[in-house]
Amino acid sequence: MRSAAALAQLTLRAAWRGGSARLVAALLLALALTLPLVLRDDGTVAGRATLLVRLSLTLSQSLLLVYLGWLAADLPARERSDRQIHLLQTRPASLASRLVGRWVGLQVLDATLLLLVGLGLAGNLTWRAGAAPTDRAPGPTALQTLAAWRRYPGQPDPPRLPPGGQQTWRFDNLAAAPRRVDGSSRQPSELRLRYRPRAAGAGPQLDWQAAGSRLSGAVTASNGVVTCPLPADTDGVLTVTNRSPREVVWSGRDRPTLLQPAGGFAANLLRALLLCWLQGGLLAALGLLAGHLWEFATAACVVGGYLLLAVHVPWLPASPRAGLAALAVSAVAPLVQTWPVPDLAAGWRLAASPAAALLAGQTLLCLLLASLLAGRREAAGGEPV
Amino acid sequence: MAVERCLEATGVSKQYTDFWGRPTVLAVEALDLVVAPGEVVGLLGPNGSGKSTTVKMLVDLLRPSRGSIRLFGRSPRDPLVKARLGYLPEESCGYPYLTGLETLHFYGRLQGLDGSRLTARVATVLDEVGLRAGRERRVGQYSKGMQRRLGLAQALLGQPALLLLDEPTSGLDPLGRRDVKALIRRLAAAGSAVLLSSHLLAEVEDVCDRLLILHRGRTLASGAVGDLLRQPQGLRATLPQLAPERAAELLAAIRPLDEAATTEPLISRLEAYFLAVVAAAGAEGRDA
Ligand SMILES: Nc1ncnc2c1ncn2[C@@H]1O[C@H](COP(=O)(O)OP(=O)(O)OP(=O)(O)O)[C@@H](O)[C@H]1O
Ligand SMILES: [Mg+2]
Repeated sequence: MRSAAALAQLTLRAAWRGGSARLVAALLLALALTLPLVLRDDGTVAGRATLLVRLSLTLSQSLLLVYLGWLAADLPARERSDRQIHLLQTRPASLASRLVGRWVGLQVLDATLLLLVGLGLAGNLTWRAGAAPTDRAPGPTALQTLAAWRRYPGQPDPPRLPPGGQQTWRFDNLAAAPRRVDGSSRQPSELRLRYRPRAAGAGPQLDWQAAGSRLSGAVTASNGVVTCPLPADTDGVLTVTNRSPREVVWSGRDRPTLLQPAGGFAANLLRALLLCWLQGGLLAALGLLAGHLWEFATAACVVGGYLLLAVHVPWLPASPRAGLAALAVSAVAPLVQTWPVPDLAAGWRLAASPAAALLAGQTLLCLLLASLLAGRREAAGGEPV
Repeated sequence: MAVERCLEATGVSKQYTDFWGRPTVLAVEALDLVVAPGEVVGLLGPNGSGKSTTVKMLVDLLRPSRGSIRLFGRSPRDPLVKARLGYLPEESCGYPYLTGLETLHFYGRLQGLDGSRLTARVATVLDEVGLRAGRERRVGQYSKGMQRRLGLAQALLGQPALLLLDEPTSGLDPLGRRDVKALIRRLAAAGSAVLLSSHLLAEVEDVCDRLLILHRGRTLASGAVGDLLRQPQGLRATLPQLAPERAAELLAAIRPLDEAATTEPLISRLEAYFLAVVAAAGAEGRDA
């Protein structure tokens, strides 16, 4: 415990006095200040705010992840090359407590920097929400708009609706959606679908039928997004009739999705930051392990490779049947998705999935191999791990 | 009843190998070594003779290829053993961004010290190695001698029962050397066992009770310093009050006892002379 605390403090001092933490903090601040000036949005408060949150979080988190990975790999690797490891290894502190201490130090640093990002973002948006909105009609302010939504993609996919046709969609997970605190009913939902308008004018005329009651077409279209408010007791089966004169086809990300509000802006920002922090923790742990096993160049390659892999997850097939590689990689998918805040429960489901087991197996195997290599290196006269 | 041995190494060898396990250098061969409490033992040998390799094996930084090492009757990997050990590596290795004081606090906490005990202990060792004045400066700005003193200070933090010092006086000025030698003697008198490696003969001679001479990893000689250096025949007489002009008189008087008797003027060692000159100049000198 004592030694873990000592290592955590050492890590913070290394980052701060080495100057790297100060540089990253300055970059994050500069990002928070300059991003609103260079962004080109769709002119609505909601659009601008969404863009700002997404871009800020994505850019800041990318910078932070690269920094954390670099620092985590660099600190232990340098400790070995500069021989400080000799003085650590001859103390009664165990390797585990040293690793934990370093990790805690990195996470405190990460939390501090994320707090900076969060404060910058919230301050920026609050200020903009107070400024005169550019929307002509009095609309929702930025902070109201930024409530995150839980998403339930509809089945089947892709839906194809000829003129006059009817389609029934099931929203599978809706039954499991959390109810209001009083347990009476679910929160009001919204059906949202995006279409690419082929001709100018309004979107398709759609009629909705949910839970047996007909809800004809209070459909609003803005920027190709169709939204339709649904009653609180929507039960997961929706029947839609296309009253427009042309066929409508949706697929992939545009397909009809049922959205339920999942917390207000502040709560969601906190959740997003927490998610960023957890991702940072994962990367820091990986970097530390790599830095303990290999010299900096190798460790940095391992961490960088992992980051690249994680960033490219959206381009890999997401279906669980799409191959072992995609399966293993899908366990790191949350690394790039911070907003809208993904359902945290999905993370737990993922942890219990075969993909996670596979990934854990691979990690164990890698560690075993690495420790074998490390043993070899000691015999070859290198520094012991 | 057998006295507890601080350190016992039997038949220890270290064969360095390359990545594929092919032998490259046999750095230490069949080394036997015992160190008892209160004893100062010197490892003496030319460059590359295996001194550092031996010390690293003793503190579990390297695994011996053959033989066994017991510290306080236990394996060197045992945390209980590590808690009673002080190690000064060959090269100085502090964190350049910490001050001397912070460095000692850091290592002290790893050693299991905390709170006022740690503060008091740090202050004591800073005084012992003469680094009090430089304690607030960053280690990266330390001179070589200061780094060495800091290394010694961290080795002393846990009041070790066994001290392993790899070339403790390298980089130190004569005053520092004198202080370190005095410190080692003090620690031994207080019951600590000390094993030090060096290639400075005078140093080993001054401070060690026993020594071990290594050459290319093999033990050439070992035993008490007095025993190894004593010449069974012959005698040296020192007459500090006698004027050099009277040497002829003296020779004439002792020639009948030994045909080969000689006399020469009394010359002090450079170290003693240097220390005397500096002391005369009033240099305080203890603090780096
Ligand atoms: N990591 C290593 N890999 C291979 N050979 C090594 C390694 N370290 C030391 N050696 C070899 O082992 C032998 C003993 O080295 P060691 O460092 O123990 O000598 P030393 O007595 O401490 O020398 P010095 O007085 O120069 O410090 C040398 O021949 C050296 O080249
Ligand atoms: Mg050496």
